Amino acid sequence: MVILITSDNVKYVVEKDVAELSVLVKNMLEDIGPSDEPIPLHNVTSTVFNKVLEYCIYHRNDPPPSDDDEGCASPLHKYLASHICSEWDQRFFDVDQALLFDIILAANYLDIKTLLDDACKAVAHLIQGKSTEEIRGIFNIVNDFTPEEEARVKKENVSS
Amino acid sequence: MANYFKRLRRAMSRLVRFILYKVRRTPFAFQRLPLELQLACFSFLPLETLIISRSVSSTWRSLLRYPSTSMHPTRRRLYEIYLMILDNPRPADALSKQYLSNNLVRNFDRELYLQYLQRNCCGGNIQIPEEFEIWVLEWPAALVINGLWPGLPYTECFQDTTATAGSSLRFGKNHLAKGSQVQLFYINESTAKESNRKLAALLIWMTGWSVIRVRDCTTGEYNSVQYRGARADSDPHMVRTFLKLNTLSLSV
Repeated sequence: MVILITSDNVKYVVEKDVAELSVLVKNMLEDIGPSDEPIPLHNVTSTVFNKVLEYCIYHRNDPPPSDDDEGCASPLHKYLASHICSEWDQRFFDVDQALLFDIILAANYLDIKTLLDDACKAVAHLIQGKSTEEIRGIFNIVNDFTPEEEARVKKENVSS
Repeated sequence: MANYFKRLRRAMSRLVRFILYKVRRTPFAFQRLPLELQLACFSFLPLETLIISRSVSSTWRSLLRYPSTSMHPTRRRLYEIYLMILDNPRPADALSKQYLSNNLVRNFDRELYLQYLQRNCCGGNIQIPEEFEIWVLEWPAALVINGLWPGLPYTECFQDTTATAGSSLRFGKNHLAKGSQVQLFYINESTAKESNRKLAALLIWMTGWSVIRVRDCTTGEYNSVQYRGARADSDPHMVRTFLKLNTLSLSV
């Protein structure tokens, strides 16, 4: 068992194999050796950590991602936003944008590669196949092109 | 009564203002992410959305100025080609584009086409190269390279592009092939009836491309095209890439 404390001082008692899905925690555990000291997670609030934990518990038995298929041979589906693996994952990422981005930040901080990839996929899924205007609407982005730039940009646009 | 409505209306407008305030208070959540994480999200986008994303804002544009290393390698190469086309526009491209908008098969079902190839080539024994797959699935419909696109009607395309883009016969640098792994052997035509005219697919994974349009001497008909490709690491195998004019008639 590992004790983790989030930035808002909520204490979690997590099984070791689940906690070690986070490379950050894993390295910390290796560094401090066997001890009952709680590990502080400064950049993660309990709201976000609940989600992260839910993901880690569900995916605890997944085979670890292998590094050797990086580069040319990596299968396409790994790169498709529409290919969010399971129904469970789809439901899991069906949250509001703010939380989704917080999950990305937490996954990055905790160094959980699969969660980071899946969450980024979920973001990509939001805008995949959308038009420029729709994307601006979804992410609340202001069109900051000058009229001249705008004209040039329009010329490049390939949507027919 | 009128007073009541006035109060209700005031309450409603206050509510609307409050909601707008709330919405405006939490904008730019995506922009709050560190740049490398924004790029990580972009790396899962298909090519067309990537290209469209370039015109969202100046920040996104500068983020997408160069293909990111986290993209799929083939997608990255395709994106490089796109950027190259932008940087080096050819005078004929505008004509090609115009031609394309008139002649593009609108209901070209890309998935179906790949399934068709998979099932009907070499007795269902071919492994369609992933590069080709991504190219067919993701290359934007309105984007032309050298006057060619896999969704064009074959004979017209090459007749017209001779006139417009001058690319009926073209040996090109292959931007997609990994080294010289895959080679184009030759392109040949076999017989087919005019009513059953097939479309050619551009096999961009090969090291060069060329098209030889042969008219059947006896019947005077233009025929379907047969590509022959070979991988250096395997026996040469025939790759027939037929695309019927009406993709709906493909048997699923």
